[in-house]
Amino acid sequence: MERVIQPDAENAASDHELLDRCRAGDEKAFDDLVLRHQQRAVNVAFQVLRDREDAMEVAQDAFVRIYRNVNEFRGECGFTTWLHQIVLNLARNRHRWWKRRGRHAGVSLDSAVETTDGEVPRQIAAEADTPDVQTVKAEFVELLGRRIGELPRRFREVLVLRHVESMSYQQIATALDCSIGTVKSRIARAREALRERMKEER
Amino acid sequence: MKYCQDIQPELSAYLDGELTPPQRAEVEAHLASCPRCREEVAELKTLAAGVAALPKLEPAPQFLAEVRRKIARGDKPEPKTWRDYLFRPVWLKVPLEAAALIVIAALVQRLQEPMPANGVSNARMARVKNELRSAAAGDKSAGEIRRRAFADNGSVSGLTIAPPLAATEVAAVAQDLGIDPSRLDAEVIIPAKDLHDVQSRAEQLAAKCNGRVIAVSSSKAAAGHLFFVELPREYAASFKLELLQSSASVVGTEGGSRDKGGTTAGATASSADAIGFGAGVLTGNRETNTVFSGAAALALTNEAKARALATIVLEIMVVTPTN
Repeated sequence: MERVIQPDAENAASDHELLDRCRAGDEKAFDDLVLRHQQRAVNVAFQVLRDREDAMEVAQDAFVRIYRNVNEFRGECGFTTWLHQIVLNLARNRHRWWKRRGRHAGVSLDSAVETTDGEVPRQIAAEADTPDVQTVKAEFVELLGRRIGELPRRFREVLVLRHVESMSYQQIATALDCSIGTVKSRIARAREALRERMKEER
Repeated sequence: MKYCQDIQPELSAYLDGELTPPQRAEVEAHLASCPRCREEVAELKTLAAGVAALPKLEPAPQFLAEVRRKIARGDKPEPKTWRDYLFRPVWLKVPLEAAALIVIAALVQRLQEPMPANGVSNARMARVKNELRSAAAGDKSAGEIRRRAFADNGSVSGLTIAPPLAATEVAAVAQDLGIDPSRLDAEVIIPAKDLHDVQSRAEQLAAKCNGRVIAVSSSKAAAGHLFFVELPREYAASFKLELLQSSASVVGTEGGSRDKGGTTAGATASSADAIGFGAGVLTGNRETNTVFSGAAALALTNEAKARALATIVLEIMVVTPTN
């Protein structure tokens, strides 16, 4: 099952209806798709890349690609899964691009600010937290943000899809084009790696 | 009664509600009596909540306008046409052209060697068969094969069964199948009369370690049979090949050239006549190099901590012994 956030679920057309209208040349339908999913795209890209500007670029490029390929998409998976696939692919390319240029070292939620924006502290609005999440201490989350930035990208991908996007293993497998078994083991390894890193310095 | 080490690999999936009811019951039964694993679950939960609570990035107000601008401007996320490639900057163009040359060279090499239906070159097949035949004829003992395999400081380059040329051929086959050749990380050559038996064992093996059999050649008539198994890399470190005959145990070493107690140089042709004789090498990563001789059965010798990051692809080649 596809988890789709629909701001006004009662009146809103489904993603597939909007896609149909896009195919028929309805430009407004495409705008609606962008507005509906921009937050998801931007945030997933950000959590994987840990860089604000790169995340914006990648999310925008993802929608450009969707616009161009809307006729090829036949709805084998949900729209959000398709969007995730594209965002993650573009993020991978972006990641490699920077890696080749040596910027990758130290790119993380916090350190990236110092290296790219001078001393400006990064201020990012947090969404309203669920009660469960509120119990997590702020400094723990801050350290976690740094540590997750040090993990291999493929670990970040599964953690973000699982915890930020609340996707099932099956959905993650579809988005990453791998088996459920791979998802299961990769998530377990990602958590283990993160836990190890969190122990290094508190 | 399950022990902690059986339960711990499942805790992550348990937390996500991704276990089957029996697995879940097993984990819960263990947790009821194990404070240490309960603590581990609590830690994982805290981590999960922490990841969910990471600061989110909101799209800028002009996000849609930017997307529209890029569409109007004809921006491409990445170049697609040959023109884009042609007019790339020099730092990108030169490596691309170099890569193209290598590809062309490889293609020429491939064209010069006729390929049977299943994509394994005749030259390679002949080489492997020769190796198997001469081994079967007693020219080389298993110990000799092993010595040659590790002659080069634990590497397998001395073993003619896995010549460097074969790697490019296999890579080409893999690429045809849509497998990234860089993930081809290990090679297994198995002598067997029954392809289906090997295939089904490979499938069981893959299932055991969250992997999958990627592609199996449909050609059953060909002498060799090549397919691929994708596995999480950590399992590669704990792979072993075991002999079907209990008397002829694995000729294996762990940690490169360190010999593990002189197993069975005597695993010779005669002991394996039921299924054929062969020699091969499995290299999971630097930690495990296992040379086997005799009829081989794939087996997973379990656990090994997650050490590396990627999935790998094992190339499994089944050679039907010549009679």
